[in-house]
Amino acid sequence: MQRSLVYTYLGLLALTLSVAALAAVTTSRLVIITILLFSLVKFWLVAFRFMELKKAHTFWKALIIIFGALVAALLILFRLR
Amino acid sequence: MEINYKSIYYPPGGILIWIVIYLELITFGAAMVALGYYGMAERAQFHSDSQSLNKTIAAVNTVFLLTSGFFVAMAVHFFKLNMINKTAQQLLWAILFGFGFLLLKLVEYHDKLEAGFTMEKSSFFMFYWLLTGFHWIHVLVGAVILIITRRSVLKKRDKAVPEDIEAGAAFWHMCDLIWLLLFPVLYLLF
Repeated sequence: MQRSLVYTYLGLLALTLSVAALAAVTTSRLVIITILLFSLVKFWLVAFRFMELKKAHTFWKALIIIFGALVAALLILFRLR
Repeated sequence: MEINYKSIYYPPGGILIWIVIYLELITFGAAMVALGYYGMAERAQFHSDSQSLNKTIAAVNTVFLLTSGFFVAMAVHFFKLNMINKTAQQLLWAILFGFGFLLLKLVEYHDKLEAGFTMEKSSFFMFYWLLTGFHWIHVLVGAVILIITRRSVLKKRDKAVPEDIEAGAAFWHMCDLIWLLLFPVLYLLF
C-alpha cells in the first residue's frame, strides 16, 4: 500500500512535469489535447489511488470516470472548433 | 467494525462527503466548461490574457498540492495501521504544503492586481478570479479541517474514528481534483 502510494505520487509528478514541459515548447492543438488527457489521467489517479475510490462500489467509480471524461471532452471540443 | 467499502452507501470517507465532492466537482466543472465555451468566441483575447498568467507559479503550486495530497494519503494509511505519531507527522507535512499553496497563490494574486488584471478587465479574468478564488477558499477550509483532524488524532489517539479522518482526507483530495483540471484550463488551454 505504502509503495503503491509512492509510485502514484511519482507518476503524478512525472505527468505534471511533462505537462509543464509540453506547454513551454508549443501550443499546437495536438499538444493541448495531450495536456488535457495527461491532466485527466492525473485526476483519475488521485481519485482512485489517493482517495481509495478503487475500493468503492462501481457506482462511485463510474461517476468519477464519466465526470472527468465529459469535462475533458467538452473542453477539447470547444478548443478544436 | 470493518467498513464494507464495496457497499454503495459506504464509499471511503462516507456517503455525505462524496455527495459534497460531486456537487463541488459539478459546480467547478460547469464553470470550466463555460470558460471553454466563451474562449471559443473570444479566442484572441483569451489567449493574450492566459499568456499573462504565471505558469511557473501554477506548476509549482500543482506540485505543492500533489505533495500535500500524498502526505494525506500516507496519513490515512498510517492511521489504519494504528501508527498515530506517524499519522500526525504526515498530516503536519500536508498542512505545511497546503499553506505553501495558499501563500504562493497570494503572491500571484498580488502580481495580477499590481498589473491591473482585475475581474473587470475581461471575461477571462472574471473566470480566473472566480474559479481560483473559490478554489483558494476551499483549500483554506481544507487546511483548517486537516489541522482539526490532526488535533483530534493526537488527542483521542486510537479512539479516533477512521471515517472522520477519511472524510477530512477526501475533502482535501477534492481540492487536488479541482486544481488538476483548473491548472490546464486556465494556464495552458488558450
